[in-house]
Amino acid sequence: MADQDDDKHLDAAERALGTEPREHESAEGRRARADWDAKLAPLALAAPPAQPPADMFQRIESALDGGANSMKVAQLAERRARRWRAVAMATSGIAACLVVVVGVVISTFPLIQGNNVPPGVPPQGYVALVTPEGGSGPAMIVEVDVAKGTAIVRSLRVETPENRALELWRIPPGGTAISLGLVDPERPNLLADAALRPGDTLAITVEPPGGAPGGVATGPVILSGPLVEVR
Amino acid sequence: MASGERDGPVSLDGANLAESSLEDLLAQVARQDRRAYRALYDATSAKLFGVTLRICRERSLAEEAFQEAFIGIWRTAADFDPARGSALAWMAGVARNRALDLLRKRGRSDTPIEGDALEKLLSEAAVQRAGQADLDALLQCLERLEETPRRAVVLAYCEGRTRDELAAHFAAPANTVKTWLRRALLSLRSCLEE
Repeated sequence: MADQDDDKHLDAAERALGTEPREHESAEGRRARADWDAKLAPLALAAPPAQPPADMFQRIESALDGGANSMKVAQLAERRARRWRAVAMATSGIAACLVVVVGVVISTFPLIQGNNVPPGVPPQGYVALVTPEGGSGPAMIVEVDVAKGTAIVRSLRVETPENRALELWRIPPGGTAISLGLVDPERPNLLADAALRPGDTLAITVEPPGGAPGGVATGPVILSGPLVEVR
Repeated sequence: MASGERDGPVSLDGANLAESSLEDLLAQVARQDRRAYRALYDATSAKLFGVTLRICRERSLAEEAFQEAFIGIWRTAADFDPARGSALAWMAGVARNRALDLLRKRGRSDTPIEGDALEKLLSEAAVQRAGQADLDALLQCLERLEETPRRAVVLAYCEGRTRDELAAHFAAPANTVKTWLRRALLSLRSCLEE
């Protein structure tokens, strides 16, 4: 009936306007609203243009998945890693255990900025890349959110040996290794209380399933390196 | 993510992209083309940020809305249907809806409606009408409405005002505002279909 149609269409029109809520919109309702959005769009576009902040696109890309930024960062990390790889090998003392090597680099680029960054903490995140020798690309990428104290381990290009687990450790300068938990190469791993800082060393060891008993590493280190800030 | 590929530096192929329409760019974005996405951003960000700023009024809220909207454009570019309207209009819809969502969730509804708000909004639009047939048609149809319904529709649409804010502004019950809005929208629809 014309009246019911009209009502439905007018509901959609008011949703497009913004004077009706949209929470429980059906798929059909969404299509009807889209029609009204299209009709009224020229008025929206008549708003005076305004410049977003200069770093807005960077923020958008960072939020999407790192994308182009992590490519550039990986290239930069390669150069840095090559330079001090020799230093790391000479001084690390666990060099003999390393199957792959070496350059863990922190790179800063803006992550999404939350609303509650405490004063004094730079409102930026870090990315740590662990680059194996031979430079075929980072074996591990860690995104660190200093403000929240969290880290996400992505792109872990190692395989978990059979009947074993991979455990990630944080070694503060002069301190003992602190477990950050098990990491799964198949998916991004969110570490809630990572509290990573430049100067820390990140290492991955191979442990029994469930992780190192007693919180002390027992297995060989397969990835390791100190964190260095990249500008 | 970075799995050993080396794409080389990200750069715009200026020659190609400069000639692409927004519709073409959006289609490329639907195929995950980052360079087209950058070109789209360069071409439309000022306009779209203007859309969110007018709704959100507070700059930081507008930035948040705009950021989320543009990310939404990356994720849903395949939803754009060229038969329904222009790429820019579709993008404006994404931006405006995101801005409205954030405004409802976190904006302040106590910013007063200014006395000359309608006149300002309409003159901003009028400045551009000569070059844009669809804007001109919409403005003509709005001009056919009576003053009060026109004011209600424009304030709701352009500034994201709620029925309650409009009711306070007009010193009328919310249901009356609803009736004005609906009658006005019906007129607009038939006018636009002429």
